[in-house]
Amino acid sequence: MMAARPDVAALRDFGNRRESMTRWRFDWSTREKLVPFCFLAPSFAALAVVSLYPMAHALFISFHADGVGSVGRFVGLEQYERVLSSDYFPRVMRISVLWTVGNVMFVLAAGLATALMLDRNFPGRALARAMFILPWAMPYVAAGLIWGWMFDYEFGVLNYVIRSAGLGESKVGFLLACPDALISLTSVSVWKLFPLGTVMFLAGLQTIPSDHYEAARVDGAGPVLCLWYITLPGLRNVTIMLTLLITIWTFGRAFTIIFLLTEGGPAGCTETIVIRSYLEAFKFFHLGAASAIGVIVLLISLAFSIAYLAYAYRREVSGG
Amino acid sequence: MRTVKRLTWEALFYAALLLLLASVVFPFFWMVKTSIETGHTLFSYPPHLLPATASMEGYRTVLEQTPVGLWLWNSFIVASVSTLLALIAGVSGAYGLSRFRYRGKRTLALVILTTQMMPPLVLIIPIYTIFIQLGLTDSLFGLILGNFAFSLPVVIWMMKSVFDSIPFEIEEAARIDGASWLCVLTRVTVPIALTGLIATGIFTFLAGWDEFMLARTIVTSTSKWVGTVGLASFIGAYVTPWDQILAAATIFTLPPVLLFLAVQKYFIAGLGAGGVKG
Repeated sequence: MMAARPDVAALRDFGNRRESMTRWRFDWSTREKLVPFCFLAPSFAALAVVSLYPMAHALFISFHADGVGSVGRFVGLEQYERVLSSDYFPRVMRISVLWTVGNVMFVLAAGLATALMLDRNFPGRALARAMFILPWAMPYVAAGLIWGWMFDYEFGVLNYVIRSAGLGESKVGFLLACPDALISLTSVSVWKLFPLGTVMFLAGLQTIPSDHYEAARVDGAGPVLCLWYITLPGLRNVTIMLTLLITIWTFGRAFTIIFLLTEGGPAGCTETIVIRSYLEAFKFFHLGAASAIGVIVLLISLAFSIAYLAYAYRREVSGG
Repeated sequence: MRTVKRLTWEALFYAALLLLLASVVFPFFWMVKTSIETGHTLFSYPPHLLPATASMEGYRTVLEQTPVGLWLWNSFIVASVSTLLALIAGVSGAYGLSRFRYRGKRTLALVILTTQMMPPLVLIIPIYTIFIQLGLTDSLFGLILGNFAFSLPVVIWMMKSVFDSIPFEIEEAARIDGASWLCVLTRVTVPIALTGLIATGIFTFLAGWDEFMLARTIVTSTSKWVGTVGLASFIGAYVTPWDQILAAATIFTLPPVLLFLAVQKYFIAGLGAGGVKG
């Protein structure tokens, strides 16, 4: 009977021993505070190795002369000076800006038009939506191949369509002449990207309360007035986000389509800053200059990313 | 008068819709149509809008005479292994960013978002020089590593928004019942977030399947080419056998299109939410 009484001292001793046997010599609350960092550790270790370190290395390369095998001597900002004062830099910047603005404008227009169509009810709407979003799923290389074939000067179907629709008599050299090539490439890029606009505008349209439209209709407003005074203001936020996203995307990332179809030609008139950097690195082997251009692209992209984040954050805080 | 106006409006709507749909889908149609035609009708001008001949000759030739099958297999390996690695590292990171309260959380989130927005070009030049030093060029392992670098921030960011939408109470209950945090994540949270996880995995897989710039830069021997590099190599060949090229392109396009149609709903929901909520 006496044995039923717990030996408090022995138990406490046992507990202490267990505590000292655990691997972590921290108390419970410290351990709980460390938990999130344990979850974050693999991601950040991986990012540091595969992303942040290469980025630092790009900076390192851009501050050095080109060497054989590895980088040459330290030259400070000389590579940047050379790039910025080169005769190609203003040209590739101008082409990049034209390319980006063209993409943004037409993705917005096509996205809005398709979203407005899909926003109303009609038979086969789900099918139409899937078809509109399909180009997003085609790999860029496949898109480059099929458009390249359609643009073909001799046998391409587009020349035939233009001719039989009575839009022009002489053949168009879609990728062979100078403003034409940039326009052709922009249309391929817009064809690939506009589904993003469709999807985002469609989501934006659903946030506009339907009683706004009803009130306007009661007041006698037609569809055009409704579009101008209710729909477009309601899509303001989506439009700003989409503009920034497409800008980041097309300015700093677009590569495959241009590289495959024209490689910056003819006569350099589709050579964006990204293509130029790639060619500097892997065609002329000027790694220093290529990295300097890369860092410039990064800084410009970063400016737009910060604008995007600031805008998204402000909306999250204001709850809009 | 009213009905006439209404009918005209409807007719205009359907006409515009069909015209837009036709121009959006036409490249797909033209790709398949060209791929099943044979030599002599292929290069006829004016072109036949419907296939004049139909055969699988282009498919057979391209599969027999070029290693397209191998390239697709390489693409599959690179895209799926890099996706798997990114999911393993990224899910835990996303959980750490979504769930706990600690100082510096916003800064960490910003670091991730910055790496996500970074143009791949800025990574490819240093990756190329680092890989040369490590002897990782011309290997699928190097490609897997590179694609992992590209998709990890995307996974973290997408999964964070998935976790953010799941209420914390269930996990708290499991935690109080004595499950460790790791156990909570693997046994409670991930099963709830499974659809979001699958959608995220499919998007990173598609990105890896579509990746061209890095693959073209670091892999040289044809036996290690991936689909994108193999397809691109057809351009500028001495003669251009368009039926074979587009047969290969069709095969290459099929998996992403099917996967995409399967997860379309999540794509729309996810992107839409991202666009509206930021």
